[in-house]
Amino acid sequence: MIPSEMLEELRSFLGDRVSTAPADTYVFGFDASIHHHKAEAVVFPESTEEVQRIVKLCNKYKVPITPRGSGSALAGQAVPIKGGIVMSFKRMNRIKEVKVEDLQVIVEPGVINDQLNAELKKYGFFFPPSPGSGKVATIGGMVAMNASGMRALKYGATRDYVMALEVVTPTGEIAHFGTHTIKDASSYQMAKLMVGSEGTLGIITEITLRIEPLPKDTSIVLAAFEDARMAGQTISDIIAYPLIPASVEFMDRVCLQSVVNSRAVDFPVVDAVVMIELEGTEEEIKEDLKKVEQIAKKNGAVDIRVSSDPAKKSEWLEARKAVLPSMSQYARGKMFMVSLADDMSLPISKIPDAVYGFHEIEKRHPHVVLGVYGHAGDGNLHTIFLIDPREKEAWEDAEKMVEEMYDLVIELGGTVSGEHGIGITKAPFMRKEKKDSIELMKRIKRALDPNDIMNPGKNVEWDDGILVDLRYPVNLGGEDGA
Amino acid sequence: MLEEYVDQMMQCTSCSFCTVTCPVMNVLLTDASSPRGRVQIAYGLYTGELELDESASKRLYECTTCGMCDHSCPSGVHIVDVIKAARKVVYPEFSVEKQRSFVNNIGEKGHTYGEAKEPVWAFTGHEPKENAEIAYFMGCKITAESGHAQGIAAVRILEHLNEDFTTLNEVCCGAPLMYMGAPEEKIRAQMEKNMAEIRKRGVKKVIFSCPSCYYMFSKVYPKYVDISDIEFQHIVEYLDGKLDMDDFDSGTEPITYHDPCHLGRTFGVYEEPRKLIKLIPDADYMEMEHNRENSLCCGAGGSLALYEPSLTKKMAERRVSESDGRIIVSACPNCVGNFSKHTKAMSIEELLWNKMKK
Repeated sequence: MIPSEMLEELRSFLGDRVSTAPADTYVFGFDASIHHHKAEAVVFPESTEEVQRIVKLCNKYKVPITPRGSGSALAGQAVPIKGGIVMSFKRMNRIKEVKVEDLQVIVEPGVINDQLNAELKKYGFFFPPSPGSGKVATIGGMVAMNASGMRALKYGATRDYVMALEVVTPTGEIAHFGTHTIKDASSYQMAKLMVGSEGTLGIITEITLRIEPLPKDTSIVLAAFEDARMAGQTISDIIAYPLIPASVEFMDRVCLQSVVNSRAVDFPVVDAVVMIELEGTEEEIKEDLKKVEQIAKKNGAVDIRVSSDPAKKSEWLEARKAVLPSMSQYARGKMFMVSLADDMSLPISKIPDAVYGFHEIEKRHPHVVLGVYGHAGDGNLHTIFLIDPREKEAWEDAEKMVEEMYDLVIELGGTVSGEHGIGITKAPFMRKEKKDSIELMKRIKRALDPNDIMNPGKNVEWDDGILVDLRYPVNLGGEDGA
Repeated sequence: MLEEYVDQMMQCTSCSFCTVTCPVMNVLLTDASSPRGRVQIAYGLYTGELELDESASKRLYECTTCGMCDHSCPSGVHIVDVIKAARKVVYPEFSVEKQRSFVNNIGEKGHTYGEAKEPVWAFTGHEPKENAEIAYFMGCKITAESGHAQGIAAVRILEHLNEDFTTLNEVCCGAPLMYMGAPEEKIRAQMEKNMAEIRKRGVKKVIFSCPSCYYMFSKVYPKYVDISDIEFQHIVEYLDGKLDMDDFDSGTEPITYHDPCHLGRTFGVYEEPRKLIKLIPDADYMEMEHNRENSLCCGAGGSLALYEPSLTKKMAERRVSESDGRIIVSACPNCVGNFSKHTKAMSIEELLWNKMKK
């Protein structure tokens, strides 16, 4: 419960940028996960100083803070599961400085990925991480989640581009982590610690990112397979050749059907498609294309399409990025997409085994239809569950299936999240995977956030199951369910 | 009322793609006033997790129903339909006085702006007649405001082309009632009056200057009344192909075209108005940054101008800032009326009629 004197104080410097209106606190209780929990208040700071004043008040009154970018997190990171304040960064959205000569850009956390890249393009540069949600994902959210997306194979994840961060610590200090230099060996890599911390260790108020020159040219290859394992094999063979494309994407039949239902795109609806993005000079791309086509044919590709036309490439890339939100179009009105086991990362060579294994698990769970897609070239898969979320049995089936899938991931040497993070929905499996380091991580959390106000109850702190505070109209028994 | 839309609400994956394109969200910068937020509020009202109060009604009415969200939703949610359904729940208790007086005017006097002083066609001098080939439906906005200029220009163009047409003793099409969430029987009463008049005139085609009227007749009326034998068109569609460059004097002031939301995103009518404008030899024409399906709403739609005029103003100013000082030409009396408060704007009918060789 937020004390009234704290609310008064917030209003004294934020004015109408504090809301306790029921509709607002209800809306800010959602993100793109399966969870919902009402906030008690929402605040919209416009500067680091305002963030600092809010954090100091929260620390004084021991009120939880959940930072929020666009609210597109898939595992509950932006849901205020313990109530308290949601801090929206929609008003801290300035690109502060583009310094191409120093290969960096300085932004506020609310800047959106695609908007940043539109600005950088004017200088011939770009920020390479390219999440499917790039149209909406904020840079603050990307840092907090260590997002990456389609180009991680060649360019790495957000972590690899964070040079410096300004952070308001949970106790209200303003700290500057990292440096504005390409190299940095000055003590602990605190900026890297903040990356992927999901708002549990502090609030990021300014970000300095390394940027890269735009590639000269790109081409995209679509290779279609009637056997998903051979699609997976093609990916491994391309990497082993060796050939490192900018991105290698995988989509199975369910995903292809969904995206074709959702938009006018000419993707073949087959067992699986591999989409390969090649970069370089015209000559380099020509050479790489030959190799890719040769490998795809050897693995039984039934259709190979190539395009260097900007409009066609954009159509294919946008369609690929729309897979996740298109999933509810697969069986419209009957099954709906829910975010469970949405993300996992594997050794690249284990992709065929994982894809096969997931679909074998699916066969044992009749209430679930599974879609598999992802950035398979870097070993990162996404799975989407289609269920009728009004049915208790569907959730029970799905819960068992998630556990079996993550057991397989861990058995294959993978990790439970490649880029979407842990939040609530993946926490039990992360605990299983990192059983020898979880206590150490909890100690770091306690050292930095002694009053446990920063996004409490998430990630290393979540000790419950996954079907908690569901946003769907289902009664699972007990206190859960809407 | 919301039960019918549960599937739509659950279809929303909360991906947030609609939030970045929503022109209201881009002014207010809060998720609570985004399309996704409005769907979530409707969902909360349906499940009972959220109590109906002023904060819920405010967020639901802070929307122009411009349809940009439907256009950008990869999950195929009909977001505007959900919002309209939720407004029906909100209207009885939480509509504002201005909205209610609008609804009462329509119910009692037939028109949004009160009792017409003279028949709606009178200022055009073109009397209604029976058994014409087509009817021209003027719409409340032109009837009551804008100096009637758009309606007069439309009628003069049709006369100039020797079209066999009639004006109508029309009443409000009912669109404002629907957008506000007013009781269905009031909308139905408007439909019946208009259809009786159209039947009386014996026409098989009706053309409109107002995209909202066009939307009502094409998409909403068929759910309530049998009008399958009558064709509906916006006037720019009707005129497309009936004029050529020889009909026009050359040159214009610097102009640009604003795509009205319904005419564009609902009917896909993007090229017809542009073709008509470009018939004017040496027209000084340039596109705005957001055009066609990405056009930004003027801010006046969906009854927002009644509910929150200050937001309408901010949205109009944002759109006007893209026009670079050019005259904004549009094919919607609502858009033209709204822009005229901030910059020089005119209807496409006025532009064409002014430039036509007489």
